[in-house]
Amino acid sequence: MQSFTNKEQVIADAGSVTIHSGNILHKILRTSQEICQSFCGTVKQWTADKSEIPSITTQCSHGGVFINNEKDTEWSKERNRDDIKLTVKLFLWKNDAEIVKEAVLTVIDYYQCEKIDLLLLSLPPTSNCPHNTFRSVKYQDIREVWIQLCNLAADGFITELGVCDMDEPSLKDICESSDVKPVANQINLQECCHPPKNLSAYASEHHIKLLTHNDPNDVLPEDTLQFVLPASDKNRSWKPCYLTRYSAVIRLREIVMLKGYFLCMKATKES
Amino acid sequence: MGILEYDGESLNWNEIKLYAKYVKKHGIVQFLNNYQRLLERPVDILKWGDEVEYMVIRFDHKNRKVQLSLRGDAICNILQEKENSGIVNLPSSWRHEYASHMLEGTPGVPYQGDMAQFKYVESNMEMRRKEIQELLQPNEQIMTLTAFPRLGCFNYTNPSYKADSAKSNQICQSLFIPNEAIGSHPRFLCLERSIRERRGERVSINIPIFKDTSTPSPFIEKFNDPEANQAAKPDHIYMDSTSFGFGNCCLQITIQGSNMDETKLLYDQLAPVCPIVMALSAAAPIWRGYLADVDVRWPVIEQGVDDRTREERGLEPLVNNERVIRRPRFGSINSYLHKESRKFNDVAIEIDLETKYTLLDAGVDQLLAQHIAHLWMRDPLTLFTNNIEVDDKKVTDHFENIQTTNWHSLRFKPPPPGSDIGWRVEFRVCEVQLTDFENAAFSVFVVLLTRVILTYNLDFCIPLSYVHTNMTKAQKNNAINLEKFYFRSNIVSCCCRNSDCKNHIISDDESLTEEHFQKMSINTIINGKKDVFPGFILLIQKYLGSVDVDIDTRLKINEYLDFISNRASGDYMTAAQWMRHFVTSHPEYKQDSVVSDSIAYDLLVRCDQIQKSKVKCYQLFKTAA
Repeated sequence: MQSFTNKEQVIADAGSVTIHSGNILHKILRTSQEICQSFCGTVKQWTADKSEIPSITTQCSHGGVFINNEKDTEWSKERNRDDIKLTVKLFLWKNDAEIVKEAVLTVIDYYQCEKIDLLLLSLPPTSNCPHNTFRSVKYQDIREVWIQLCNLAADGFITELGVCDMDEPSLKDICESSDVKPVANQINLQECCHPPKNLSAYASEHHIKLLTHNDPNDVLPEDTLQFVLPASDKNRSWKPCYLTRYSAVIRLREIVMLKGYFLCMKATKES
Repeated sequence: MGILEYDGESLNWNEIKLYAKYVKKHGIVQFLNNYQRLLERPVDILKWGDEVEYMVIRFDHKNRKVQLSLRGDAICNILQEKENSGIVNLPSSWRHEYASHMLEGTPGVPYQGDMAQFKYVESNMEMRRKEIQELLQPNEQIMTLTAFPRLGCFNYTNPSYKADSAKSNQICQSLFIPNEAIGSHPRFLCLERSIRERRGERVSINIPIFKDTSTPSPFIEKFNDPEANQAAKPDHIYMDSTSFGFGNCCLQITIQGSNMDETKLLYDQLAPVCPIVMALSAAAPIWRGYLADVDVRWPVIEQGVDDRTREERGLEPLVNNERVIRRPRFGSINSYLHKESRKFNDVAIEIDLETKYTLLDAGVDQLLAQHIAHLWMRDPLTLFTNNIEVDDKKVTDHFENIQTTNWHSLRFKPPPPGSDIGWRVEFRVCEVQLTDFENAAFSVFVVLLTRVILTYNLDFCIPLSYVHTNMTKAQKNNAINLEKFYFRSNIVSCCCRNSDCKNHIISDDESLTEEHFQKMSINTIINGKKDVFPGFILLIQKYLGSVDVDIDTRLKINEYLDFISNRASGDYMTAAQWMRHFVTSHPEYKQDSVVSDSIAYDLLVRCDQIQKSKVKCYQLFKTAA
């Protein structure tokens, strides 16, 4: 247990760091840079706070540091779990199945909320068309990640699975290759005012909801990363592993209760 | 409008007067019987619905004349056959309205609190319109027009009837409106008569006329009637019947809160929004064939239902009446209901003390008791012989009697007995728009705004006297572009612990200063302005980014938000401004504020074409292809 240690040193020594933005619902009203603003000052506030670092819980079981400033978690004040819909969008930088499990369990453990109702998987842009908002993927490439998610679903941690930015062939490939089919495909409405016809048709035929998002291709550009957690020395830099955005909405009243992010980064040595 | 079931004969005012105390007393008993049960009510989901009023128009293309067809009642009877035969869950539901050229339609089943429902609103409205269209005669059209421009002009109805104020045995004693123009439902005839009889004279509505270059100055009309000549003000358009007000069409939206507390909160938060939406939806610049200097129906109804006697209006010393009453029974709300806004109740109101103490003794909170006691200051205006003695435990007729004859910008509605309907707030200021697209846009906009208010704990409340000022401003000619409205600047209640933070909810002992609210244009309030106000559109977009919305719904909502945004910025005209523009650029217009039969004919032909999408009016809106 480290107490009164220089928290900055803790971060500098850590192999990985998971930062929780806290409930940003009220914080982000006046800004357009949501992700950036959500983490604004989070690390600074944590290092400035002289209280003890709580013992590492399961979320960072590989020895990472959990940076969080929220004192109490607002979840489920006299509310039934069934009255709330928790949607989590998982942004990955690599197709890493282990990371997926950690990302999912972090949210559930933090809020003690049993499960995620809808998990949307967002893969990094494919190298062949990085600027295209639609991803063109083959199921084979994402198989491990998808199976991991299906296992988590089978274990009761996720109710429904969805994907993001899939074009029609990719969506078709997943649906035909996996027993568990995505229930939703979340696409970017800014770039395309109307979804491509083949995608709409396929989604409609297979009862896949087309949802919308406004996230850019590069959801965590370099300068945002530096802003959130600057590298402490020249030989190390932080690389993102995953970013989850969660949103808890009261069903049938459509009132948002919570919104926030978890960002996990690994330290890499520059050679 | 109001409860339409009745039994027996309708009483005239002198008879109703004798039962006034009885009705009011039993109304409170009925409310309290209900209230105790309601406190334990479980949490409700969001349910909401719109009410659209329609008028039936008849074109005489050969003579270039347009009239109001008085078949609204008859058409409504046919449309109600399905409901009356006991079929449930119909897609639409129909009600009679005050004037016989009107009818009102609502969705058959309320919309539920699921984002996907927003994409069905417009198609339900379109379906309702089609239902009416199937029952029209040749040359008849159905229109969602707020005010018929030639209402009260010579030969404005079909069939044609003569208005004759001299016939004292008639219910409607107007110079302009024939008796037959009032709906056949006894409640409406009763209202027309009681308002006049209680007041002791005809209502007098005076709306400022728009002074154009050739308008006589002063503008004075001479009538064959001493009462009218006395009551008509120079430079005003004079009208003398409740029918001028209630013969208008509007759009109302009713929203269910999850419990009483949340409903009170929504009621309070929507109050400052009322003048904004009124200005945005303005659609009534022409009255009795003249261009007016107001753009909305509000002042016409306000003056048209004014049942206050001369004594109550302060024109004569109090002899037969208890007190002077500052305002008519139609208008803006006069007090906030939620304890958090109590400090902003700065409008003096008259109340029925006995009612207030009865409610307080029964455990009703101070603000709600005050609110009801203020409504209870008014006398009942309708009563039927077999509806006097009722079972106070089973029905709330007497409560609804007084409740529904107070017509305010918002109505706070307790759950009715014998149903699973919860607490609701009714949003009543919106003028009806020409097309279903626009009406759906306003409906969805208001409902989304309530979700945004609840999600972000927004606080729009300012002293109610300023809301009243805003309501007056919102009525003016081109208020949407010319007026500035008092609006709260710091609407986000902050969760930070910094005591210097400006975002904190103002505490009880702090007074609201100019730091907390300022004058803003409609454009700023809706579209935002850097460092001044975020804007409703931005807040709604932020909210939508946090809920799961399917694409079709999102595209539809985006269309609606774009429409509202463009109205607010002045890129699109309000219907009122567009109608003015149409009239003043008409070749037959003589710059004298007169909207003749033939100008009105051309105007309504165009309105009809716009509504049917036969003509694209880009001044009003563009829709996605």
